Amino acid sequence: MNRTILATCAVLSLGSAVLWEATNGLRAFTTETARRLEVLDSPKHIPDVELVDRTGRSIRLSDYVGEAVIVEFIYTRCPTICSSLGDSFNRMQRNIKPRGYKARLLSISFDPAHDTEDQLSEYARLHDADAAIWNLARPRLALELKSVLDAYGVVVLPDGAGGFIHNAALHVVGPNGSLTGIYDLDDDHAVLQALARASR
Amino acid sequence: MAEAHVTRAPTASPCPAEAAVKITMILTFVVLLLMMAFGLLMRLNQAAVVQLDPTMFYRLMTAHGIGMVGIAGMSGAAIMWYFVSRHASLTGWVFWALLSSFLVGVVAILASIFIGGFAGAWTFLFPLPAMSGGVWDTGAAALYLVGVIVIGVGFLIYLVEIGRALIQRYGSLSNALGWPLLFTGHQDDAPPPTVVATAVIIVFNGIGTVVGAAALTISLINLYLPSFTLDALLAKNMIYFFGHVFINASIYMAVVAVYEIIPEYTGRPWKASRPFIAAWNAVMLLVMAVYPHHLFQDGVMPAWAMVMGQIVSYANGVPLLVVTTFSLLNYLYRSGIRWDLASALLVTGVFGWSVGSVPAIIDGMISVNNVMHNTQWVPGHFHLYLLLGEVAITLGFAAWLARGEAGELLSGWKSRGLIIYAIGGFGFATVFLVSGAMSVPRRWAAHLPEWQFQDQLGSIFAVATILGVGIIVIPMIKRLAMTMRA
Amino acid sequence: MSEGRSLREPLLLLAIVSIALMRKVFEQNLVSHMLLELPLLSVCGSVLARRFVHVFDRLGQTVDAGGATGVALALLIFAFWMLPRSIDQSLSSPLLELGKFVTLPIAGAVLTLSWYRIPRVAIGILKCNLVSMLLVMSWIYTVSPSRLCNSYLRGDQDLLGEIVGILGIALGVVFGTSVFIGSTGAELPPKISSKREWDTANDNP
Repeated sequence: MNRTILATCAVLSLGSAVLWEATNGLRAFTTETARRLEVLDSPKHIPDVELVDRTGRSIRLSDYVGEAVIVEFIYTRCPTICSSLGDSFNRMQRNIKPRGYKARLLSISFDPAHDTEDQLSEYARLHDADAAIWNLARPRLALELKSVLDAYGVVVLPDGAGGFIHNAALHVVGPNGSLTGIYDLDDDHAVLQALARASR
Repeated sequence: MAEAHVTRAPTASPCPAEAAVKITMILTFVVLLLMMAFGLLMRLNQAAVVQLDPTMFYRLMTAHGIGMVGIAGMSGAAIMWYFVSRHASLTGWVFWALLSSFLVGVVAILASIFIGGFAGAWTFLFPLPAMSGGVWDTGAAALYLVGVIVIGVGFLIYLVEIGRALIQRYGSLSNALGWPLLFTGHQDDAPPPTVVATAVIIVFNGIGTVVGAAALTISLINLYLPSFTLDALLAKNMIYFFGHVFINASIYMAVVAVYEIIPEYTGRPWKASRPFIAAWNAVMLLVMAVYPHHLFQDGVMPAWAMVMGQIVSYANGVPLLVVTTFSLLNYLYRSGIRWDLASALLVTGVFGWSVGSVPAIIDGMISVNNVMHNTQWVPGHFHLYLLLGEVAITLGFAAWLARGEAGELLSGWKSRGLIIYAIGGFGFATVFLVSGAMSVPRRWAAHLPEWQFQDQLGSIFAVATILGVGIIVIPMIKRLAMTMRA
Repeated sequence: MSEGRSLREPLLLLAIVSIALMRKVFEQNLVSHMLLELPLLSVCGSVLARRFVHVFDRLGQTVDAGGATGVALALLIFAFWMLPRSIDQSLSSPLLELGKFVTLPIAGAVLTLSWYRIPRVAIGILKCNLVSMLLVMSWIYTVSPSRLCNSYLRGDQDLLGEIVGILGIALGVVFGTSVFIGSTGAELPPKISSKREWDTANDNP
């Protein structure tokens, strides 16, 4: 009986510890909440991968010296969420200038095979992108695409109808090149606060 | 007296966890008196005799509600446990587990109300716990819900254990429900009345508890993840289904005491006849189908549910009252019953329960309900039926449990206590009913001056009730504590 | 019988390995991942353990009285694999994927080894808990405003919620009915006429 109590307590405490750890202290039950919590707790280094922007120029995150970058992941054929992402970036660019935040916007396509320079430019035109603030780019190689998506924690699935399903969010990368916050695309308030902190 | 032993098993194997049953009875007295004091405070506030902050009024109302419902359930559970153990072998630790979970839950609930400020009424109607308007914070609401869940888990273990014991003893729940006798008429298979009643109660209370636990879990998740919602009407249906079933179960559990104790006094065994079994089995279904009568005010409820609620309200009261009240009268008639505190309280309880059902049946009419349900008519009904029904039967059981060697007849302080309690309780409930008939609203912290005379009258009767119950229970506490040491 | 037994264990191990090899098929969508792969792994573990019930009996009586330890371990393992996050991670982390193929058969196995020591009342509670958890899980998966697993489609999630809900109701009906039917006639107590004999018969189960 006593040994049973000991064994049960051992199992319970070990198990609770694992569950506690696996849910970030009962705060995150899904991967999405977890990745957001984790970058808030400890900013995450992002690999400085080479991208090609809509003018064919090669760019890197490290080009943005002393500036925060808000990164979103899109594919231009997307009929739903990516156009919301575009709207949300449009609101951002209208906020960034008057407030004087040192911040830029970067839309990265995870569909480089289809999203050519022309497609990206068309998307930029549709969403009224201000070239001084908002750039659009795509990775050069499939391997690089994977490393970028993995670094941010973005999962892209084929939706079975030729498109993709992906966890859409606004990713704030600080001036030092590490991911400091991930926010819902309609949570302007939180994103602007993060930018204000980064610009200080 | 000799014949009485036919229904009563020889007490060769004592009730497992009998000490826990006795502790529960003492706990019942303490909680009853405390909650009655809370009730008196609320009435005095309405009477403008004392001035409470409205938030304090609603805290007291929440505590009074959950405290009374909880202790009614707990005392009923103790009574049923005690008597089921005469017919099937129960595992003692289960009742201790129920008692412990009850105590843990009570501590959590009291802390959530009086420290956290939770005042969302005992019914935790979704999504009220999450919408306090700043009166209490999420943590307080969560603590309240967790407290109720803990008690619910205790009850679930208790119900499963009784079900297990009955199945072990009678082969299946259908046998324990008396179906062989009901459908084939084989008299020799008939389980005793206690077993039939218990089987019925565990079926509907088990279902009710599971539904309540689901509503509580969903409310708890909703507190922290507001985007996870439940249709509010469905939630209300679940909560009132649970609440209705639970409070009815608590009085039915207590009624078992009447079936087991009265035969000792009358010398006539209480037998499970075919009508008795039919009535209890009907109750099993009716008690679960009748709850929509709590929702007549919700115009969006489907019409069939409302109609069912009204029809079943008429039907629900009848079978049990007939088989219990009329049988009781029949057993008492020329039985030469010895009147002591226990038998007098038990008989009072059965009649309080019967009389208390009448206002409910009236309120169960849709046309009446639409004007009466939010008045004090409803507290009038449930106070009559609980205060003079459930409480009287529980006190009767406790008096029987604490009885001395030789039967002490009803006299002196005991008889005075009983009379004060009965008059106090009847007067208190009647004032509510009269106020209800005069359209005084229920659940209002502050009353208009023209209602305050009734509130003062109610307060006086409340004082009498507390006094009467106090006179009855204080000697019993001593007695019960003594028998536990022995 | 004995021949069948000697073949059974290798076959079951083979089954676990083949589920592991075919994991891409099972894990293609959420429903087959959660309702086929995970339960099958536990069932394999459970059947595998049946042979060893007597082997572990001694140990079980000392460290697993009343089945407490085994039930706790199994429930914790199941709880871990009920987290949407664990499901996602098992797809992205080979370590977690391996963990899944090890822990779920273990959960099934310890539950089987403990089962006959668990008091009847606790089995009743476990059944009630299973039904209510399935219903709550169904609610969570169907009302969630967002996808719970980044690796699966929203439609899969809704379907899973609906199937789990139906499963919960069906199990509730099955458990409920079994209580009314009761055990087989052989276990019915003998018909005894007087109350006193009934009670003494009861004392020696």
